[in-house]
Amino acid sequence: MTQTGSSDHTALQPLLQVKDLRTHFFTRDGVVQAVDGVDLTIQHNEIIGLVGESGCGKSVTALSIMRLLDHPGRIVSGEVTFDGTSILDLSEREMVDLRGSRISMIFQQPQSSLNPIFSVGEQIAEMFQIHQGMHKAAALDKAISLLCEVGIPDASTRAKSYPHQMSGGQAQRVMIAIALALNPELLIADEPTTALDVTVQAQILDLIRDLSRRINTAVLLITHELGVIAEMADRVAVMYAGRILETAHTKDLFAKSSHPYTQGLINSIPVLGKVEKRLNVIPGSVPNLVELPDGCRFAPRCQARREYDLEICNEQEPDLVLIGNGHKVRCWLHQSSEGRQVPLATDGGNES
Amino acid sequence: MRKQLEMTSNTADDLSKEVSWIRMVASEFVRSKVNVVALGLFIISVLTALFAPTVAPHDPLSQDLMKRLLPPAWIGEGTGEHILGTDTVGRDVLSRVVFGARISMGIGLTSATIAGIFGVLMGLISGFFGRGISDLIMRITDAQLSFPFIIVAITIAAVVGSGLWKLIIILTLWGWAPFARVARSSVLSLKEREFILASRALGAHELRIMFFHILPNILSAVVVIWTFTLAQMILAESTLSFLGFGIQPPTPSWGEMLTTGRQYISSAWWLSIFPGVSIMLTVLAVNLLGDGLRDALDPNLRV
Repeated sequence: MTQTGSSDHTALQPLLQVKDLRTHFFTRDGVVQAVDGVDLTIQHNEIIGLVGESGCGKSVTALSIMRLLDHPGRIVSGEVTFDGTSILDLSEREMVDLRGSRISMIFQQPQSSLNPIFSVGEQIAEMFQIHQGMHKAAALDKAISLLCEVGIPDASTRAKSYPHQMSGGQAQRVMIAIALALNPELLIADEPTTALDVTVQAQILDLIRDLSRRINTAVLLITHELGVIAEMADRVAVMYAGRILETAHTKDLFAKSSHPYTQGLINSIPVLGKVEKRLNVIPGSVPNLVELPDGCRFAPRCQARREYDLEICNEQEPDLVLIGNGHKVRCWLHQSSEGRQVPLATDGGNES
Repeated sequence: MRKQLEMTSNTADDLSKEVSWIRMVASEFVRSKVNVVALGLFIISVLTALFAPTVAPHDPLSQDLMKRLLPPAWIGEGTGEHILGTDTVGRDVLSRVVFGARISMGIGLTSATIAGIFGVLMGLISGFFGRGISDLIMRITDAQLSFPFIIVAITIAAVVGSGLWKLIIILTLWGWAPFARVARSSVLSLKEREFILASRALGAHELRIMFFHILPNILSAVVVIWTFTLAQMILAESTLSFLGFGIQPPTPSWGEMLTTGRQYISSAWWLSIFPGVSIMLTVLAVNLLGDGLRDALDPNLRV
């Protein structure tokens, strides 16, 4: 499935490396630390899931990578390296060239992501016109063949449809066609199925997976649904209040989730057929991103902290430490500090 | 050769697409009888203005004191030669109304179009770029909209004098502000729409977004304002000419005809009624046209 050339490449350097990214919003009420020290590595051809509750900074991370933040948001510090070049140092012109051709993005609301007054064919064709200077007629031909490829029946007629004449699922197919038109190396999919019917969701996810595998595109899949992650991702990063709390291979994350927050997320998925009086939830809500707690950001909601009665959680923030094969976690339960007792440092800690 | 073939296929393709779009808007437009009537009246006005020398039975300037103040053909001494009668110096009223259309439509269309282009450009710039330029432009439009038009126009006319092009400039300066306002507010709301973010994420640069993604989306609003502005311009031209600051006699214009007709309103009503009705019908037609176009151009209303 992997090209020989690109697998050599993989060994050398990751496709995208985000180091200590901090994106803050300078609002009237104070500085909102939407993304605060995110580390993320995406290998070539990999599907990586970024999961977390609403407002935890997933989308802002994506927009920071694309450098599409609007006032008052600003990248304060950090590094974003794409295929060896530092994205944050590129000129706006170079960035414009990069967007769409090497890094693409699709969004949550497919119908409103399309320009309402142009036919979908024209909008796909635009990619070839902007980036490759192709003539309109030739670009439209390519657009039609792309529409076939993303599974839209009767593509040559449908190319003349306007966005409002399409269903959400079809519109998302069109968006995928646009985003993958130029075989980008990275596709950022920001909640691509959240607005769609459950039955359509699976089809769209299949399409993203198949197409990205076929054209060797890595995918950064942003979602709040662990089900989507389980189905799609090779690796997962769990995000909370602007930080990555745990990252692991998908299998490991579900088998040996180590952070109390991840465990809470997994436990809160309702199981089909199992009737419970109350659904499992994580008590509380995401902290105010203007005034973050001093210690671990999850500490105020953390069940495990209360059980083990850990003081340090409220005082000092843990680091993201390696606890297994590619499995990192940011939690005092797994990290020793100045000879302090570490309750779960040795075993996987799933049984807390 | 090959390139040429490509070129022709390209333009043929574009043409067929263009035609189908126009057909779509047109079929939506003709659904309402009112639209058809308004369009008919508008076309008649434009054609009359264009072919005034052919349409008019007489020279609008030639006087004949023997035949002064003849009533319209169907009344008393009226003759078939002067269907709508004659004025105080024996000029044919119909011919003067016809040539008046030329002035009114010409000035209206020209100044509404220039004002539209300038205003939309200002609005785009103001909506798209930073606060400094935006605030400056908006304060100018505020000032513009807070001045009573007649007083400003009279002041300018008193300073620079009157004349066709001066009138067009006055009307343009007065009329661009609503375009800028509407363009700006549409840009501001469109900018927040997801498809603009999406097209940025897919590599469209700012100028392309401004002219290719945003401008077409505000065109239907602009066309509607253009028609309403056109109507206002026609009225304003008549008003200014009526007050003596616009088109100067003997050049026939509807406003100027009203001025002279006013003094004879009890004895020779045809002097003022016909230019008055012309103004009313034209303005009404243009306004209705604007309403019809707004509905027909909105793709969201299309089924």
